[in-house]
Amino acid sequence: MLDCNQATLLASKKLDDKLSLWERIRLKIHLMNCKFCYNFNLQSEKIDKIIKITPDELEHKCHHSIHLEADKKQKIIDKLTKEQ
Amino acid sequence: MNTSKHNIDPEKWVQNYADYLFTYARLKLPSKETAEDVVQETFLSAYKSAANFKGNSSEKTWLVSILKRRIVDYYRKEARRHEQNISSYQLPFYESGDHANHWIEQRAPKNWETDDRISYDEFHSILQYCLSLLSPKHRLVFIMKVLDECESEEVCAEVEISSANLWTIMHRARLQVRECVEKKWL
Repeated sequence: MLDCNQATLLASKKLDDKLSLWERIRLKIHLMNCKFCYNFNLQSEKIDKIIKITPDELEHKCHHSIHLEADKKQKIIDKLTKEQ
Repeated sequence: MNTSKHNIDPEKWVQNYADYLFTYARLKLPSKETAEDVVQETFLSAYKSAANFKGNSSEKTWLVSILKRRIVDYYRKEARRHEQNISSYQLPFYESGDHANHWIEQRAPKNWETDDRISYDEFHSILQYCLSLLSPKHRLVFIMKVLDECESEEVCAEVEISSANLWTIMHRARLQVRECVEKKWL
């Protein structure tokens, strides 16, 4: 039986890499029996998803758009033009 | 000859892509100012290397890939600036006794209940704050892995760690960020 330290390590590794079949089974059994690790697993997925969010998803899900200020844009255009 | 610039119109370029790149940078970086700097660097660097743009991907994808490298660069510089900064984070598990390696109850993950109690903005700024508490090296590893989705070998080589150590760092970072988000939020 995995302890919580090992189970959360596998839950974390699962987000970055593939687990072996044996690791997946052991993790699943632990998560069914441990509410804390079950919560850790869900919350880590949520945090990863938010870190990875793209501008398109942000606009789609949150109807939120961010703009670069006009004077900052102009500054970039000026710099690029000077490069020409 | 100006063919190397592949007929880029700076004004059109900035009007087409600046907001998208800025939004992307704003989502991944701690401050507005840093995001502005990184976007400017991205345009300049893309402009200089426009001749290398093969047209295999869209212009936007190409710019985003340059932007991502710049974002990782930012965290890389931060990690170098604070090299000796060691994380003092204690794992939320009992170290010994009958409950060794099981959660210390007061620090164990609570139920986060509904997702709609918090706006995306709020959650994101809490998350940025919590990321800033990671040791700079762990943050670099975490960002490279989660955000840029770099290959594990690449990350390991860059920060000179073994792959077993990579999983340990990701594990610690996730425990620490999760706990911090919960503390700030609930």
